[in-house]
This record gives sequence, C-alpha cells and structure tokens, in this order.
Amino acid sequence: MKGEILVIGEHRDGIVDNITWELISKGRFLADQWGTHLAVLAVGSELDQLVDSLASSGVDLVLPVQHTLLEKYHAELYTTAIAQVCEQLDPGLVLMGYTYLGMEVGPALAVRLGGTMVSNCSELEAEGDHLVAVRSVFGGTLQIKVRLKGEQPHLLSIVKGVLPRDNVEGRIAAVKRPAVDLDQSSLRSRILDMLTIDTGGIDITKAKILVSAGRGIGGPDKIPMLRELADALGGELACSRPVADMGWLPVAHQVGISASTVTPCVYIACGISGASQHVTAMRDSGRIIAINKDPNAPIFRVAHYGIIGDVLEVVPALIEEAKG
Amino acid sequence: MLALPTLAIFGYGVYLHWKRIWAGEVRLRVSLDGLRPFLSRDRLKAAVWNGILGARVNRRPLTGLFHGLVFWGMLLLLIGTVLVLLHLLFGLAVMSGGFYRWFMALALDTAGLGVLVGLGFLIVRRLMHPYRLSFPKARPGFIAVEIALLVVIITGFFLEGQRMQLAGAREPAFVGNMVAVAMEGILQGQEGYYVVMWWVHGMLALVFIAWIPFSPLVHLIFVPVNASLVESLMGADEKALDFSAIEPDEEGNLPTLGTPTLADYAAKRRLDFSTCLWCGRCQEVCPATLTDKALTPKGVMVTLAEALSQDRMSDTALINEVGMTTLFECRTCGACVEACPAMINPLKAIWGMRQNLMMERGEMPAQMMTAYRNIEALLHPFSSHSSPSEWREGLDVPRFQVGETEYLLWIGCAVTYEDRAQQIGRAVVHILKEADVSYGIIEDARCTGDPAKQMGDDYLFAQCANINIDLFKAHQVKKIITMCPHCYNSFIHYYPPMGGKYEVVSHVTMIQDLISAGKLNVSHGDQKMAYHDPCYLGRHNRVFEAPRRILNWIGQLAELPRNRENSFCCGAGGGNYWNEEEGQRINYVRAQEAFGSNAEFIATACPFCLLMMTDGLKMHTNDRIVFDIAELVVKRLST
Amino acid sequence: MNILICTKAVPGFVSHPSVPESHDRVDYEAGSIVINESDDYALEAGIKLAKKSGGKAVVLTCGSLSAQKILQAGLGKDADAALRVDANLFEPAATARALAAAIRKQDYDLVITGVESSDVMAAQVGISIAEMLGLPFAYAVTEIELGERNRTIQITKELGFGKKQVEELDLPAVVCFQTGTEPPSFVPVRKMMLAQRKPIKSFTLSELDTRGQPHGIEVVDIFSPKETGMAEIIEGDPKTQASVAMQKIREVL
Repeated sequence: MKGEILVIGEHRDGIVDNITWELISKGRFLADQWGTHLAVLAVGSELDQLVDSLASSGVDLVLPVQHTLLEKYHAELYTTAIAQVCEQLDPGLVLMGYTYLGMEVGPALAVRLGGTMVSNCSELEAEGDHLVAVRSVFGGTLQIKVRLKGEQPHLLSIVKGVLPRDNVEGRIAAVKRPAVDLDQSSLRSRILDMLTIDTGGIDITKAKILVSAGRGIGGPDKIPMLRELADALGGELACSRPVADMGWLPVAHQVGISASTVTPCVYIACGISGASQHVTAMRDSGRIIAINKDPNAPIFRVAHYGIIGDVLEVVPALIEEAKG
Repeated sequence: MLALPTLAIFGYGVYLHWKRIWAGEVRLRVSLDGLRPFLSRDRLKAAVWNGILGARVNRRPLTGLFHGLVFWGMLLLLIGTVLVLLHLLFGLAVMSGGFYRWFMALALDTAGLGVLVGLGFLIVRRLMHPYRLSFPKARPGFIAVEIALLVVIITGFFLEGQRMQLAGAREPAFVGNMVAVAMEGILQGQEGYYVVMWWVHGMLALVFIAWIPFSPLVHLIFVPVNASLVESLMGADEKALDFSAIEPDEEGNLPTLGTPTLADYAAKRRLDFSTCLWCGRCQEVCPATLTDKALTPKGVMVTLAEALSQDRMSDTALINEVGMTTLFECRTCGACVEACPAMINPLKAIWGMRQNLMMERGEMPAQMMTAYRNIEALLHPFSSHSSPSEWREGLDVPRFQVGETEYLLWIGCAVTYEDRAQQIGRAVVHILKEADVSYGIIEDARCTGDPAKQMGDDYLFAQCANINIDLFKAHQVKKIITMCPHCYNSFIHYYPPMGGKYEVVSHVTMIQDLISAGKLNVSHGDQKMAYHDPCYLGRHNRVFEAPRRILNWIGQLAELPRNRENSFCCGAGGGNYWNEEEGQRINYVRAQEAFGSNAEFIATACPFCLLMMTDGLKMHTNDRIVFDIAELVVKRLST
Repeated sequence: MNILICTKAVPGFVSHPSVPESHDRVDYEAGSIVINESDDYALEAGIKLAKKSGGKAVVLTCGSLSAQKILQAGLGKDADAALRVDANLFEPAATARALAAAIRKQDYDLVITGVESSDVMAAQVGISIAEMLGLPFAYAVTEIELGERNRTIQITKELGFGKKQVEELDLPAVVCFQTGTEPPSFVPVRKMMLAQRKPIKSFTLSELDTRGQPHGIEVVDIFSPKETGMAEIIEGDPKTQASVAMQKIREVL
C-alpha cells in the first residue's frame, strides 16, 4: 500500500468525537508499520479549538477544512470538500467511523475517488502490504475476514467503540489548511431546518443509573415494573430503538446512535439483544449489567455482568434488593 | 282437506330453509377426504344417538327429562293422531279392544300429560332463564310456540273429555275422565260444543304444524339431519386448502379464500346456523367466554343465524360484524363442538372467517404478527437467537439414517426453542435410549407449519409442510414420534392429502407401549399426579387413556374436574400463545383448577400446555410442579 | 413522480456458511428468503409517495431467480411493475454498478433504497448508486414529501445524537430510507397469488453493458464472532442473581 493514511475526524459542539481518537490510534499503528504518514481532517467553520487537540493526538498532519458553507453538516458540501482534500493529499487509506457521516459520505467518496470501500469493520490489520479487515455479516451472527485488493484509495469505516483509544504521546502535528472550492449556486440540495428530538425535559445523558428496556421485556405493560426499579435505584428509564418506535416509551428515553449516547455509572439492560446501533451508544457505561433469556444475545459481549434469565423474574427480585 | 294448506305452508317453510342452506356455490373445493362415507354405521349411529335420542341434551338430566317428556310425548300423540286418521279414512281398527285401552287411551293420555308437564317446565324456564340462554341474545319464538302447543294439548284434553262425557265411556284415559267429570254440568247434552271444540282443536293443530318451520321447533327436522351429517372434530378433519388447485377465472379473479360471507360457507355450515337454538351451552365451556373475552361461540352463531334468516347471503359486512378480535380469541380447542346438543360446529365457522382475514385481508392481531413474520423468515414462530441444537447440548442424539432408522423423532419448534420445553426433548431422548428404540432426528427440521395454520394462513402452512414432506421423502421417513399434539395432529390429518403419509405415534403412546412391552421399567410411587388433557391430543384426537395408564404406573392418577373430552384449554391454541391476552388469563383459570386438585405434580403431554400451566401455577407456588409425562417417567425409571 | 425502489432478497436464516474457491463471496444454505427489513420500509414509502403524486412505483432487485419472491411481494403491495437484474453479487460496489446500469434505462424521478442489508451489512449500495448516477443523495431518511418547489422533494433524515435535518433535494435524487415505527404490512395470500401471475422483466449483466469489475475485496474466511469481552455470568435463582447484581451495582455508586 502506498500513500498517506487519512482519518476523517468527527466532532460535535466543539468537542472531538471518540471515534476520531479510535481511528487515529489505529491509523498511527498502521502508519508506523508501513512507514507512512498519518493525517486527520475535520470539517466545519470554526475549528481552531479542535486543531489544538488533534495536533497532539499522534498524527503527523492536521487538515482543518474550514469554510463558512461548512458550518452545518451538509452531505453534498462535505462530500465535495473531503473529496477535494483527498485529491490534493492522494491518500492510500482513508479511515472513517461507521457512523451517520461514514454511511452517507463514505460510499459517495469511494465512487468519486475511484477507490475501494469496506464498511462496518471491527478489526483491521496489516498483512504485509495488504489491509485485512474483519466485519459482521448475517445480522452479526457471523463475521468475515476480507483482504482489500482493489483500486486505491482504500476506504474503511470502523464501528465506533470497538478499537482501543491508545494515547499516543510526543508528537505535535503540522497544520495545513486545505483550499476548498465550494460553489453554492451549483448545489442540488439545501438545508431547510434542523430538528432536535423533543425530550420533554427528560435528559437521560445526565442520569447516573439507567434501567433500559428492550423488546424482550414483552410489552408496554412491563414498563411500570422497570420504572419501579429505576426509582428504587434513584435512576432513570432508558430504552432501545424498537421500544421507542413501538411507543412503549417516549423517544427521549432512546439510547442509540440515532438518539442519545449515554455513559452512566450503571446501565442495566433488560431484554435488550445488543444490536450494534444500541451498543455503540452505551458501551462506555461504567458497569453494564445485562438481563436476557437468550445466552447468545450479543449484549453479553459488551456487558460486564450477565444474567441469563427472565426479566419478569429478575427485575422484581432486583427491586426487592434495591429497596431492602 | 284442511290438511293440505297446512302441509303446503309447512312445506314452504322448510323450503325457505332449504334455499338458504343451499345458496351460494362452494367456490373453493377443499381437498375433501373430509366427510366420512355417507352411508356408514357411524353416521347412522350419530343420527340416532345424537339426533333422535338427544344424548347430548341429556347431559343436563333435568332439562333432558322435561325435553324428553315433550318430545316423546308428542311423538306418541302424533302416532295416535295418524292412527285416528287412518281409522277415519281406511277404517283401521284402532278404536276398540285392548289396543284402544292401552295405547290410544292410557298411553296417549299419559303422553299428553307428560307433554303438559314438560311444556310447563320449559315455559317457566324460558321466563326464569339461565344466563346462557339470553346472553348475548335470546332466541325469539320459543314461548309463543310453546304456548300454542300447550293450548293444542289442553283443547285436545277438553275434546277428549267432552267425547267421553257425551259417549258415557269408561276408559283408562284418566285425564279425559277427569275432564269429563269436571265438565259434566256444562256440557249436558250439548253436542254442538263438541263439534266446535273439535274444529278449534283441529285448526289449532294444523296452524301449529304449519308454524313449525317458522319457529325454533324446526329443529325437529334439523337436529337429526345435522347429526347425521356430522363431520368429526376440527383437528380431525380440517384439511389445508389445496393451492395448486386454485386457478383464476377468465377475468383473472381468484376464488375467495376463507369464508367472509354466508354464501362462501359450505352448505353444512349454513345448516349449522339454521339448526342452532341459541342454547348457549357452547359458551358455557368456551375458555374465551369464561374469561370475559370478546368471543362467544353462541354470539358468532347468533350473528350468522340472524344474517341467514335475513337472506344476507353476500353481505360482506358480516365478517366485520363478527370482528377480528373476536375471531382471533378462538383457541380452536373444540369444547363448543363437543358441547353442542344439536351437533353444530361453531369452530369451523369461526376458523373460516379467520382464514379470510389472514389470507385475503392480511389482518391479524399486532402481537401475532411477530410470530407470523418469524415463520416467514425463520420457518418457526419463535423469536429466538438460540441455535436449534441447544436443546440437545451434551446429549448424544442419533441422526436419522436412511434405510436404517425406524422412527423419526420429530422435535417440533416449541421443544427446540423454548427453554422449559427443551426438557421434554431431553427426557424423551433418555427414554428412547433406555428402551433401545431405533430412532433418529433430522437436524434441519424446524416446524410443521401448524402455528401458521392455526393463525389462519394455509399458504404459509403449505410452504412449511412441503419443505418437511420433501425432507422426509429424501430421508425415506415412514414412522414419526411426536412430542407435541399440534405436530401430531398436523402429521395425522393435514399432511396426508399433501402427499405426506406416515405412521405417527405420540410420545405418550410410545412410552405406554414401551412400558407395556417391558422395554422400559418404571417404579411405582405414591405421588398424586393430576393430568391436564391437551386439546389436540385429547378432544381432537381422542388419546385419553395412554397418559393415564402411564401415570397410574408411576404414581396415583388424579383427575381434574374438567377432564378428557371436557378438558379446559390451557389458552395457547389458535396462535394465541403469541398474542397479548386481555383480561383474565385462561391459563390462570386452568392452573387454579389444577392447583385445587392438591396433586404433587401436574402432568401434561404438550409443550405449550407445559409452558402455559407453568406460568399459571407461578401464582400459587414457587416450586416446579408442572411436568411433561416423559419427564415424570424419567424420574421413575428403574435401571 | 415515478419512483424506483431497490430491494434486496436476504436469507431468513443461514446454515452451513462457507467461502468458495473464488473467494469473491460467501456461500450458504438459506431456509427462507425474505425482503431486507429497511427495504420493506422503503418499498412502502415509495409506493405511497408514487400513488400520492400520481406516478408509478417500480420495484427492483439484483439477485437470482429466488429473489423474485420479494418482487412479487412488492407487486402484492401494489407496485406498478417489477424488474430484476439477474446476477448474484456480493460486493456492494458490484451490486451498485449493476443496479445503476438498470436504473439508467428507466424513466424515473426518485430512487429509494433501504439503509443496510441484513446479510452483507455494508450500507453502501444506495449512496454508491447515487454517486454513480451523479445524483444528490440523503441517508437514513425518515420522511419524504413532494417539495414546495417544482422538481424537488423534501426529506427528513437522521443525523444521530437525537438530531434530524430537513433538506430539499433536486430531482432526480437517491434516498436511503430508514426503518420506521409502523411495521410494514404483510402481503396476504390473495395478493401474493395474484402477483405471482404478473410478468417480471429481467436483465442480464451483459444486456446492461456493465463492465466487469475486478473484485476489489477478497473474502478470506467466515467464522462465528469471537467471544471477547464476554460478560461474567451471574448464576443462581433470580433472588441470588439479584443479590449479586445489586452488590456489583453498589460497588460503583
């Protein structure tokens, strides 16, 4: 593999998202192995704060892609901007998260640059000159190992929260502001509005303890029981996407990549199978306790402690313990 | 002479019924191995035993007695009247001699009195009725026609009294005597009154006869006919639709799937609706009605019967009147069919409409949809991530070898995927190994497809069934052991017309045979074991004794109040295992009944019953007391 | 508005997975074939929108003959026509290329796809098609309406972290539809049977003039996920389990 390694960084409200650190960590490792350089880009309109933290993250080069038109996320503009940066830098490998950004912009980027993309990876290694990735298939029940052979650049999107975030010290990156040519008049898409989920005053991201309901609890009539547990522990209710979709709980309680990411001290997952879109948004919790009837549920790969049993039996017992 | 218009009116009334029953074409030919041969001993026996002798009516002895008085009394009186007619027309010598004394006089008078007494009871009962007669509606027309008959009988006695008084006869006709004596003063010499009374009685009688087809008394004709046309129970007879035989017509229209309108039903169903007397005995045994759900089988019959009497043959609103919720509450347990004194099958009427909702309108309860989708995607109804080999982890279970293995052990979806039910599989495997039975499993097997059929989708059922039939063919399977009565029922009744013919034995029969043959040794214990008859093993397929023998060999059998063909459903049938239950839970009701037996163990022979009863008994005890028969046998195996 | 909906036939469950000699795909036995979940949502949204705007809805798939079943389901849901690209492809880029080639031959205003297939789980095909056709795109869309201006649509899409964006896209465009709250309807038997009698046009790859793409991805192996980071299982009856769990909870509070 030839060329630089480029990480597409993500940030929100002035803070770098964890996926960026995970990609940089891996990128650094690969760059060292292949004797090449690691760059990270960030897109937005006010990036000075971010640049500083990115510069000391272990990369060789920081590329703040700054333009007033890039203030808000805009699929078409971001794709164009990043593509232009890639054309200038000519990386051999582009790393991004398997996130909304990675899913919307990534494939378009791959086609535009004439490269090869492998998405939804949980591991990647260098095998000689080639990159080998491990990714999920068939609903996550199986995984495949693939080797990238096609045209460069190779683009990989990695599942958030899987790679380690090793702190790489002792390097201060160069900062280079790439020139991007963005023409508003030729745009074929326009942002009309930004919406935020109406949480009705509920903010589960602030809770120290979350009792979370999955589809496996059986029905909306089981929610009061979970609420009782949450109250007894002094915590709040949360839920998976299907539960919110079905209306068992308001979407303000939803934990998932499309809703809220949480990091409570204690996360009790009740009847949650552990789909990656949910797990990504809670895996950094202090202590995860999962209760599920199915011993093969993916949640048990993320939880610290697991109870294989019926939520309807275990939760009442927990309530008693919490109160007693 | 006056008899002719009477007969004409009577005939017309019957004709109207006939027209309704034969209306509509049977647009869809179900692959009919269905009705038993027309002229058969079984059918004759049913016609006589149930249709005429009214065996089921007599399950309620008191009602049976008074109903019998009216029926048999009237039969005798009818014979008597015909004899009088013959005497008048052809001079048949019945009005003299011993025959006269004993039959025409004494017997008929007794009969008449019996009818009066019977009618008295029935009329009073209609006025102070049990709940089931008026819920959801009472059938109109009973009291009127009963009173009419009462008047006919009374005028008949007056007539007789007058005749005897005028003729000065002394006969064993005791009622007549009493009347004669009572009226002595009034009728002295008044022959005119006799003539008037004769005409009054005569006209009333003729009017009454003409009225019969327009009144509930038409069941005189319908019940014996219905009884003689009886099909066996649901599980025993309902074949899956033959989709290969369905072709669109020239306009590209397909025949109706299921029975949304009266015209879509087979004629036998419309006969059912015409026969139904709205007695409500079906709803008294229906698990859904007894737990206050939307369904009452009588309610469905009432809706359909009323629509039929209004000639609403092609009214497509009818199925909405019955309603989706009602139709899916049915557990298909068959208790209503078992209870009906008029040999009606409400279950088939309900099932037909459900099939239409599923297969034509795509409607079903939301919760059941998940199980349905699972069958489509996973070929079984459970939302389980567990592997199909989990149930036998750690066990050495032989695979079915073509040409070598005798029995296929069919696991079934419940035993494969439900934690508690998996123990049944493990117990049976233990037993078969112990008894050195030649058996094997096929790993790829999943589900018979019965849950899809229960929900009303014969098409999805056929998909699953055809996969299994091909699988069995490839393995040259001839004999199957089942652990679930639903699987048993499917293999015995639904698979043969689709090309899958096997010798099927339920695990309880197998175990019984093994113990009888000495291949399996069990020790006897003192533990009291109550047996819950699963609907599809017991009532639908009449396997009652094998499990009982086994329990008596290993312990003390205890009978639950509602047992054998009167067993009370666990509530899982009709796809309702995957539905959200409203109101009081059927399995809690049965669990309470079971717990009340004070037995140490509750035994059952069906994985769904096992799961439902276990859940129900949690309200009463923390101990595990519900077991499958196989599990109980394993506990008492002596090696 | 004429709408093309790209759907994928995926296995209900998979047994005996393996990697063939060619290393270009995964082989397996499938007990049943169903429509990919988010594609089902896309299908219903597309048909609804087509009917509302007085246009036609056409269902497409790239798959072998066994994939016809999902096209028939689409017809059963009242799509106007169905098309199949006869090819059994694994790499998302190849699938996108084949579908894009078929789409170029159609008369359309909007292409709707799902977000991710349950078998390959790449979430690439929809956006790739958009870029190959040079069209504006949007991902994880939850609502689509006719736009206020002529030849536009208005979409709402998820951005994550509880945020959504409302965008106006010029037509023609490609939209990737997210799974929704109302479960898709199932096609009753009657409609399936009627749909089975309708003809479905199919294209071969050579008919579509797609250049054979050198395989960019080599499948090396397939295996069960490693049990890394398995939770410590708390044994016992519910009371015991609850007691131990509570202990673990109190430790961190």
